[in-house]
Amino acid sequence: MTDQPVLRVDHLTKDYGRGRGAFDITLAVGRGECYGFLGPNGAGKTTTIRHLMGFSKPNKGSSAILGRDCWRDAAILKNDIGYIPGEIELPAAMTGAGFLRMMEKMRGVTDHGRTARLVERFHLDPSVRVKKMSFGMKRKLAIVTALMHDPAVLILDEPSSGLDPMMQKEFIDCIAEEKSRGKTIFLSSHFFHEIDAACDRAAIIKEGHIVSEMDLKALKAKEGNGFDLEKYFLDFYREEAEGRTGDES
Amino acid sequence: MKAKETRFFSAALFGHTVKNNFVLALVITLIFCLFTVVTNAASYLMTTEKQAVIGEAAQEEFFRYLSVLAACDEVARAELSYGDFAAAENHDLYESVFERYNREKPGNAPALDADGFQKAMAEIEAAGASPRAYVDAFEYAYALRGQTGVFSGKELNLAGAADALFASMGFSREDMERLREMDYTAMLTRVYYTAMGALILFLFVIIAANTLIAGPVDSGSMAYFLSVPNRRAAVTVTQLVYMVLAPLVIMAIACALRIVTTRLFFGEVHAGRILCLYGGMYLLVQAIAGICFMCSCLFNESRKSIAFGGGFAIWCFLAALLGMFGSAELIQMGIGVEPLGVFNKMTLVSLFDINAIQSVGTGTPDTSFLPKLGLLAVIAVLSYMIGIFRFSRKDLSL
Repeated sequence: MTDQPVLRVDHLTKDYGRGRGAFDITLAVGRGECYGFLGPNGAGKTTTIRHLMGFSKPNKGSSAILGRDCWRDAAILKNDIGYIPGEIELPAAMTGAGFLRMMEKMRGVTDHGRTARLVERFHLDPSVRVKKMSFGMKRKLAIVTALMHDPAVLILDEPSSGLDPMMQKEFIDCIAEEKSRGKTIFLSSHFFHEIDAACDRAAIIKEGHIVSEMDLKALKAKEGNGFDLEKYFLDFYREEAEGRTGDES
Repeated sequence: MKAKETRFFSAALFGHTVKNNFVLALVITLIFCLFTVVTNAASYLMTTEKQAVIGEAAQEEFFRYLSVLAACDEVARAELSYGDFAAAENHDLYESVFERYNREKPGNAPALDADGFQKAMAEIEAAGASPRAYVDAFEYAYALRGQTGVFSGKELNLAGAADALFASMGFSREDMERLREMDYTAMLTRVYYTAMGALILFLFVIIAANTLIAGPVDSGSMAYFLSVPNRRAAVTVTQLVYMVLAPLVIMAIACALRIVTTRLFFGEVHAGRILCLYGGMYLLVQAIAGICFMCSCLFNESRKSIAFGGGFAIWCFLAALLGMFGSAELIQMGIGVEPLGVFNKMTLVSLFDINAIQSVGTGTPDTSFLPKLGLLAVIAVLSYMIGIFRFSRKDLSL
């Protein structure tokens, strides 16, 4: 039971045409682990997350969370998943508080105290109307929404974009806390510092393929403070490019 | 691991949808109710203000009095007239004129007096007509007396003048009669139930269907409704419940208003017939709603959902309008164009047979409207189901 990965993607392929999509993605995330998905926009990160959330079904392969298929059992899995979407478009015409209340009702959350503590922690003013919220405020609202039901799994798509540095730190601390509480986290980002600070392992995704999977903890142990994820990433891309030119000549 | 999931109906989502669309529903309700009251009032005014035709005998009688006054004016250069008579308190002068006429009249002509003149005027007014109009007509009749046509040699009179005038304009006397007899209220009823009234509800349904499914998918906010333990079907069925209940509430309010105002204006009301009419209209609205809902579930983009669903609904409305001019009633009235009747075959509105439904409560009810309404219900159910089914299985780019 304990060596079953909490989150598993198995040769997942979804082809949107013209090279866009996810191709033969395979990864596994264990309990209490934070797994990073690093890559530029359009690389296929959101596609993978879409499948984990049961928004799309794959052409080939599968994905599973807590032993259940992500497409078939999409609804029931949401009890244990907290999701922060990349693009925050909130259902209109309500206050932050109204939105949180609605989400609590939909989740069947009875411990309103937890929500209140999260609102407090992230300095969110819930009385503001959603339409008038800044991007950063909407992002904070999304974070509270993802954590309010204390889920076992967190799926985060560019979670700290739009947050000021103070809040970013607060958010990364929060992730570390959840990790220590045994939560499993899947974090997708194009920010190096975010992945660097929060993740145990990370995959570099490019044009829909996982091109490298790194054990960040081990690398940091080896290189200490000299470890620079960005340099690693760019080096890798350069190597790749050089390798290709080498083949062509 | 928690095992709670919402399979078919989410109260929280329903509450959100009701609140989110409350202003729209309220505005549509107000417009629709206003339209209901106004058309009912208009129907009432049409039936009461129709000018009665006064009998030929009454007109002849009135003209006889006017001839006497006219002759006297010519001879004695007096200023006798209807207006003067009507205004004056003292009818002695007129009485003496009539007495003189009575002495000099041909034997078989009836005797006249001031009272008789008064009665003739009262008869015209009682019919809702204005004596002034008849006085003006008399002027022409009096001027034509004794005249003969320069070409035909026939005696000229007012009736002949009217016929000639209308004939030159392309009308026949029958056309004029028909125009008078035209039952505007039937046309107004038809316009309310199948055109303008239906359009107001169509607009609600078009906007609501998009706001409920395609809109959130397009904007991405649907992700929130699906990031909680809601099955896809829970989302669609919850929204379907709104699409079924909201128009019902709006139309129930308008129906109640119509029944009350009909009782108020006309003194009596056949509530059963009105309920059947609104029931039929509701099924028509649901058929359109089902199709708009289906389009909202099928398409990921708001604009496509509105283009197809809304386009279909507006087409049905326009075809119904054009088809109305090809309908039997308007052709009979002389303002119909028969080829336009083909449009009646191109709209769902034709399945809402007003004429047959209005026969409910009469001695000879025509129940042929029932299978047609049944077909509307089937269209609604099928399109709702296709929408729900498709939404449960499709990829969402959230």
